[in-house]
Amino acid sequence: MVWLTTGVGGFLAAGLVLVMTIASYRTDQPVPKLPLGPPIEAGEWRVVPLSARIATTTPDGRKVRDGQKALVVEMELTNRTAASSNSFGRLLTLDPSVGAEDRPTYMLLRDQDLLWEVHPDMTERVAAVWTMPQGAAVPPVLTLAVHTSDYKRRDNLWGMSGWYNPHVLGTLDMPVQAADPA
Amino acid sequence: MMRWLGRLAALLVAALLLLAMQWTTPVYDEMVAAIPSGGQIGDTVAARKFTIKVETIQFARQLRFEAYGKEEVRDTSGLWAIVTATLAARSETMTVNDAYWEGPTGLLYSHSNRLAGVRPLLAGALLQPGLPRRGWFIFEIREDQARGATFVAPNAGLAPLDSIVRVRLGAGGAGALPILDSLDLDRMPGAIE
Repeated sequence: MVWLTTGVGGFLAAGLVLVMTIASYRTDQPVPKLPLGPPIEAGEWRVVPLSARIATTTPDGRKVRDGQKALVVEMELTNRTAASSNSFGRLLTLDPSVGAEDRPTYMLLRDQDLLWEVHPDMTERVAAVWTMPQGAAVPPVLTLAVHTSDYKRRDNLWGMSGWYNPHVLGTLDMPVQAADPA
Repeated sequence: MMRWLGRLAALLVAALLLLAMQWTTPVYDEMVAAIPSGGQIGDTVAARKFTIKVETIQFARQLRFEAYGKEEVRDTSGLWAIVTATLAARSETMTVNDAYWEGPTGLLYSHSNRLAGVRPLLAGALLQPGLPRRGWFIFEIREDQARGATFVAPNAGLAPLDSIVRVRLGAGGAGALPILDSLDLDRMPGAIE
């Protein structure tokens, strides 16, 4: 009798795990589309995308290298956390088919210089700059993925609070303005 | 009967004890936290590797300075807070790479990196023992974080079981804050180390 119970329990547990594993591989919900205009709350950051354009000079006043062009996405960026942070580097990504570099360079429009960090609750106008070969085809309506992460009061290893489990919050369609003359 | 009740009571007490211990277990983060060394403006506050004496705090809405032969103007949506301090290494050459303005509610503003070329900045300055340096830590803060703040250095998260300094920057009584519209860093007296 005892053996029988143990065996049935074991099979039940194994079956449950199997079902859960299969369930976890089911196709996920499609990534939501984010509306352009209202502020987007993406974990540590609040972002208001403003414009996207192709340019030959970056916002810091430098010309991009020959044979290259720059995609400049301007936005208002607010740090929602309690400490100065520079984790905006992973906030926006382009579709890899555009052929741009992986991570953009962020610039502070106020200074026309590189952006180092954004301080808590101090909104800044910034630009994300991707450089890409001149021939890269940028679609007239650009699709950007907005990434976010979840706050954990205590992480599982050290018990530290922080932002973990990065994932895509949604995608955003932005019309791209044509290259500036020159 | 009594024996059973006694056993039950012992079991309950043990469970309670275990629960209390579980609830009060310090997390790793707190066990290895940096050890603060406190003081206020005018005190020489000592950490393990350096001492600091915060002298004055000034606020401005705009900073002007000359960097690499160019006039620079730095505006902010909040305030610039300039902490004038004397920093000294104790026994070996070192740098204080991070400094923070901790607001009254705990918001942590790191020292500004928008001031490349300003000479007497103390964050990242090389300190030789016996050669104290006088200069500035400059922060960009919200105006509502100006009163009742604390100066913290270096980064507590990177100094487990090491010491950090926490200097209270005055309670900031009533009345308006003295805020300059524009401050020319090159004309500020006593800036040269």
